Amino acid sequence: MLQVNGLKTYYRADGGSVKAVDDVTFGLGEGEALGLAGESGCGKTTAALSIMRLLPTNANIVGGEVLYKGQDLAKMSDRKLRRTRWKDISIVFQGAMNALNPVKTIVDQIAEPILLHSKSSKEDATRAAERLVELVGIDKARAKDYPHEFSGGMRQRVMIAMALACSPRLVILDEPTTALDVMTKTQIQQLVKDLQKKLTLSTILITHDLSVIAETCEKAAIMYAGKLVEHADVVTVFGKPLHPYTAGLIKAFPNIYGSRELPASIPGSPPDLLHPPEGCRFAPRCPIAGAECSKPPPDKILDGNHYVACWKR
Amino acid sequence: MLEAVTPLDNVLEVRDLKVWFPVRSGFLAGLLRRKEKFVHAVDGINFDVRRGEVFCLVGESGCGKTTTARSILRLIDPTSGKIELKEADMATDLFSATKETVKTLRPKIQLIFQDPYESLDPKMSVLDQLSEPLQVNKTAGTRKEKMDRVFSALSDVGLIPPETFLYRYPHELSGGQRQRVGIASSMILNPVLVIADEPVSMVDVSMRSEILGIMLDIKKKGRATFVLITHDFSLAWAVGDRIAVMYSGKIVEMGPTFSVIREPKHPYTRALISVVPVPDPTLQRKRIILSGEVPDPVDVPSGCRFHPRCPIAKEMCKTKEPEMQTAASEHEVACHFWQEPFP
Repeated sequence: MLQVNGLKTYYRADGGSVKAVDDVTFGLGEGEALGLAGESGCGKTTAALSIMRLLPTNANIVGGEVLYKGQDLAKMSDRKLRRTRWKDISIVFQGAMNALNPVKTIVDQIAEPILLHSKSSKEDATRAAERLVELVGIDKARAKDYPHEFSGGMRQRVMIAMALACSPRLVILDEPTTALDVMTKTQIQQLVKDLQKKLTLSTILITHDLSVIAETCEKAAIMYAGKLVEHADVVTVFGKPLHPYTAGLIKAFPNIYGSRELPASIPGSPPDLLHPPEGCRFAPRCPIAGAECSKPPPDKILDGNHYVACWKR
Repeated sequence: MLEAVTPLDNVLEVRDLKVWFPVRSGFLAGLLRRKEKFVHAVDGINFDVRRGEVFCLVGESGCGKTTTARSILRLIDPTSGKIELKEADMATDLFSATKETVKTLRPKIQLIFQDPYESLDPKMSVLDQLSEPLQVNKTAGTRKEKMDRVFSALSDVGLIPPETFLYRYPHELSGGQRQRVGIASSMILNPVLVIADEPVSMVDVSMRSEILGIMLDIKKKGRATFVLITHDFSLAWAVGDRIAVMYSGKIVEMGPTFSVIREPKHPYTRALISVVPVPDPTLQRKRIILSGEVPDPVDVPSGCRFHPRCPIAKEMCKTKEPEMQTAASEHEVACHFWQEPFP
């Protein structure tokens, strides 16, 4: 359904270009949930924004293609692309639940994209918005409330309803549960999972929290310093991680079902993307790096469908 | 309360601490002399912090954990209760202490801030940042003494060699390094008690353990006692000795880390533990998803505050507030029905 091939998105900055997303390839099928994970600055959000071309003005897609149902979104005209947004692909932005318009009721805000993207009347749009309010588990009686009357979790539900307003096939969720408490987080995760099944939605979930991906996605893609390092189904990625970074990242999470000890950390910090290392970008922090790692790592597909970019595997 | 603990073992004893904030009402309500309303941020909690331990206060946002921490530091004035800081030969009640006394005690209780991007002054070099507490408290005499302490504080937090960091500014440091500088500046006065408020929530996962390792190191050397404030049970699991779980201004359960996490007694704790995120897609477990949200602190539910969301609540829970009772060794729970079978 969506196939991203060799995507390169660079930011212009003083002293050169920041290679935020550098030759990233991944795909996802109908009704599939893909988790895109990595630490801050790894390029996961930029990769997601590139899909819909919602990049800031100093960023450019300089290479690669984003194929959605056979069409390349990266090269599509602005006009055509605008028709794809919301209707085919929509996004729940990071922290957007704090950006709801404070002087409009939530039902009006959900109806807004419907009015803009279809020829429906105000009444029809409002009715559709009311159905969406119920769909995301908010009491219909509260549809005419204002954002300040809602808690964080409820506002995130509103954002999800809004993203679903024009019945898209693919929804991108950027850190949808990050600022929420653990119980609310679980409620939202459950909601997304239910909606996905009910509407056969495809989703791309962007997060730094691997456990969210383990619990809600079918496939996982791990990014490091602008590169995709590993991509496979979640059971494989979490059960038999091949890339040393993925393995390290999983081990860095304390596990209440494991032993009581401080998890292992990955020494060092990610490279400066203005001048990334020429070879494997993880090599300076990698416990098993060798001489060959000073050259760019090969793309390997192992065990049928397990992508890993590492010399040592 | 807890058994077999002589009072001297405690660094801090908190008794019936209440922190209420008045709700500002409108002009008209003031004229009509309506009853004044309060936010019951912390509403009568008791706990001890033992010398040399990591004591965790765990709870969701708005449960009162940060307010508790700020009261201990006297950054806010509690409404009532007792907060006793115990040292070898004296005990001081921080609640009734005068501003002057609090000032002299400040170096002994320090805070590690959550956000290393906001807690460091962008215009101060690492050296300035670390010497400031020494100057303010007039603890370092000569320049050499000051430099020695700055050097050892930097080495303690793993910023080695220290001289390469002295003249760096916050923007020249990574997130992990900033938090290390933050810890160094909290530790430079050799505090007795250190309160760490979500110390790693802004640090990347791959670097969290290093930061926590520094705290554990200081603890192991017996140099300080920690109160760790967090929403994350897995963090408490990794570093905590004891845990107190807070809900709506109350402690609902308290005990040794292992016992609280592996054998939770309170329905709230049981539910929270059942949804702790785990990076393992094959894990099968029964998740207890609570409906609803944390109650409004102005208008707390009667009886047990958890009753509107509790899966095992009965009539009695609506009227009678549960008291802390011993459920296992050193493990206390505030629930009428903790022994009942749980769904």
